[in-house]
Amino acid sequence: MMRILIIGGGSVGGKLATDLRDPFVLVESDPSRVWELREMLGFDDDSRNVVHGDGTSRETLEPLSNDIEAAVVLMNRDSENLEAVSTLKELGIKKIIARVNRSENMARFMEFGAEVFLHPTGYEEGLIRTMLYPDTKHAIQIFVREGSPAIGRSIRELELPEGTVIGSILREDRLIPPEPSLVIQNGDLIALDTVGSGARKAWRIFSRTGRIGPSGHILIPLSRERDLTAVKEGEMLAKSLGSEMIFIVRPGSEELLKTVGGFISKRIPFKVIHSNNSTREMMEGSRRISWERKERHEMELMSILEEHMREGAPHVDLVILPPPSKPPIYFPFLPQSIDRLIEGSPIPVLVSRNPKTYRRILMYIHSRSTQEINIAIEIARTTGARITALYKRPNRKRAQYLQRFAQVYRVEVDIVRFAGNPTVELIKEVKRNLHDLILLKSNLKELQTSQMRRLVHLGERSVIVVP
Amino acid sequence: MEIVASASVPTGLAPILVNGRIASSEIDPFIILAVVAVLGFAAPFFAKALKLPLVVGEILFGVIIGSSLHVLGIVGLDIDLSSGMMDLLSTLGFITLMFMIGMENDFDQLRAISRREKLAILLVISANFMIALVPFLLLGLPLMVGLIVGGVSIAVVMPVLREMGIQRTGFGFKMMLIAQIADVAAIFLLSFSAASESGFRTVMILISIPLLFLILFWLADLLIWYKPHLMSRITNPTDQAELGVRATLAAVLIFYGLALFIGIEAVLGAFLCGMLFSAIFKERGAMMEKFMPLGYGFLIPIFFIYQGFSVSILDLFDAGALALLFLLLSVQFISKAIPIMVSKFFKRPWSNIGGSLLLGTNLSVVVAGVKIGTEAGILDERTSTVLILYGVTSCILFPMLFRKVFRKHLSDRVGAEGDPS
Repeated sequence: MMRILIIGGGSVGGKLATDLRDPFVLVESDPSRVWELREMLGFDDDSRNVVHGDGTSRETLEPLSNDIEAAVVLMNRDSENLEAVSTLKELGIKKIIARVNRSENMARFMEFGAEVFLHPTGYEEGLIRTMLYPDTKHAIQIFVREGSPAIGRSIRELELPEGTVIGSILREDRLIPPEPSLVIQNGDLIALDTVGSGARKAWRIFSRTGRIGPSGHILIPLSRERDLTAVKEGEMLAKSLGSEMIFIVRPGSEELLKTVGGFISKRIPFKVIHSNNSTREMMEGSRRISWERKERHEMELMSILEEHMREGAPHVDLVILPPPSKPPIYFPFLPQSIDRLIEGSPIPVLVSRNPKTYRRILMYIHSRSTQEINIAIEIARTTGARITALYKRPNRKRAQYLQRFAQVYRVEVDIVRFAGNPTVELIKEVKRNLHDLILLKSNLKELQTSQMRRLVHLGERSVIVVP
Repeated sequence: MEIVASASVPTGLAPILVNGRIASSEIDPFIILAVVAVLGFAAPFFAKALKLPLVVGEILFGVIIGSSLHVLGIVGLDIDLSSGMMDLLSTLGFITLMFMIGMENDFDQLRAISRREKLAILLVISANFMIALVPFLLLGLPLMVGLIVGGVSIAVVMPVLREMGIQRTGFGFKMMLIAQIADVAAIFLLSFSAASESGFRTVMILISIPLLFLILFWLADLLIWYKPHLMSRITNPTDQAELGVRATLAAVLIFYGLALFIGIEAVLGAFLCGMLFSAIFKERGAMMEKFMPLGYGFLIPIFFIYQGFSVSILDLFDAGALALLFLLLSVQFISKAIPIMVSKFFKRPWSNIGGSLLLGTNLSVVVAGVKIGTEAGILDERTSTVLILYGVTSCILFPMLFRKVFRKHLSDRVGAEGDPS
């Protein structure tokens, strides 16, 4: 018998607890849900099997961790799950299974030795059981979602692991016999029997491509000589992060591409996308036709970004843009196309000004900063930079979260608390010119949009704006 | 009737009783200030006991004193509590109030709604002012009365929504937006209606204000970018020299003077200064924390209580005054209810009725309007008294009716859907 700790008593945690054959302890932070779970699982009101507590806190987990052999972490946020995983690891729990919401966070969980699955997969509790009991026979159900590599392939072509048999496929309201020639479609619910590690292999075949490892894509539009700074900074980042570079080339900029190809290190993989006429026609068909010609490039880029996001492949991690030219008098109240692009971009945008390796990164911590912390840690640990993080008293917990991860990844971090206005304090720190990279979140309530635009247009340093 | 000094009169007042009259210039202004300060201290307890918004409690205190003085005046003991120092403090309180109202504007809220919703809000508010103007113009009353009645008091609407826990629902959000815009619009319109300038000059001022606002905003933005160390001292609540409070006070008074110079209603300057601060500093909690004790703890209560001194409830014992009060309250509700119900602003009929009731609260605009109107000689003493009493009544009556309607018809929907709209 194996004792299992479940952190997070949502619908998946509840269903998992209902079907588990081994003893378990479930931790849930919502008191009313604890009461509900106790009633659902048939425990008394003072049961120690369903416990109320904070799943990320050591004080909650330590007393429960005795004799625990496996833990399943199922909270809603990756940041909470990662915090719980790191605490469980410290408490010596060997087998940790964690839910990951964003594919780019998978690598971080795996570094703690956790087994991960990407949420939502469709039938998570079944998948968790296959991970908890890898040597037994399992019946699992997989919901095929957009972005799955299995879509458009026949069952024969899927190369299912040995011992795996598809029982049935539910498509809309119809049960379809699993003929070898049947082509898998988006939205299919597939029931299959499998043994041992075959379950995880099968899951990988059907589920969305979860990017594993720190690699990603850096997207750089090319049109002017000035874009070469962005290329150099992109190269530096690609080298550090192990990312692939994607160049978007406008018709007429092919010569520039030759120059770029000449000085980019051969070890860095890159590919080229030509911005085609269809994109242009689409843009001209839109209401934006009245915009000035020079703005079209940014709109095209936005359209390409949107297409990438829609198709789900390749996964873009960062767009690098060259700095806009400095006007003699700058009015931040009239947004330019680059402002619209940055403020509306679904992925982080870096306005490049510094092709050298970063030494210091400046960031502002707010109540929801998770993605910025992840990006800052990732860049800092691969480039050896030191992070300066500004925060105001109510966001102390987020600052502690950063500090903790900085310790784990051996990143040097200075946490600076301030009392005044966030925008003013941030600009004051920027003006000290100590930092090579500034990391911010766009459309943040406490930061003045006009000053953020000034940083993009008039700043001396590179800026990453995270959506 | 001749009254002579007697043993029953407090000794402090005895020397100044001359021919039955206590002359204001002869009462030590600090005695008046002490009375106001004690009332200001007691007002929160009084308001809480009667479940009234604080400002209503403060004005009611003032009205009680004002009415008592009126009674004393009838029996021949004519006490005049006005004094130069109190006038100054009261005006400072009014300036602070207008600055705070301006500062509480949240420009981000407007960005969060669609164009269609913005247009609907604009239509509702415009229709509200037009409907409010008609009956008073027909009766030959000043235009200003209609504009006052078109106003909404965000200072009352917001606490009521917050107290009921619905300020974050779609209904609460839209209510706050309407109240905020109607409040601002009423103050602007009142200022211009009081202006004695020619039409052309008024139009020029109307054009120059947004332009001036943009230029000042741009300059302040430049100051943050080029002088962040100075701005950091100003915005830092721990600064030993309290530079933030000094800078804010200076800015408010400069704007006040600037408004006087341009020829617009001076308090509009303080209001614009508040709006400018709210546009420049998205996060202004620390600044508000510093300025609020001075404003809400000292100057603003003085203004409300002192304003109440000039009002006597006895003036209502007159059919004409009572009829005007009734008319004001009816028009206040109707001017909100008709546009909201006709446009079906909220999805559910009871939300439309509830919303119209709560938007009937009107105090800060009334007090500002009365002050502007009396100073400009547009409103007579009797109309001003009825208007103040109307403001107080609206803040007691309409939130109470809204609570009743809300509890009876809307609370289930809030529980089920999180939004009664």
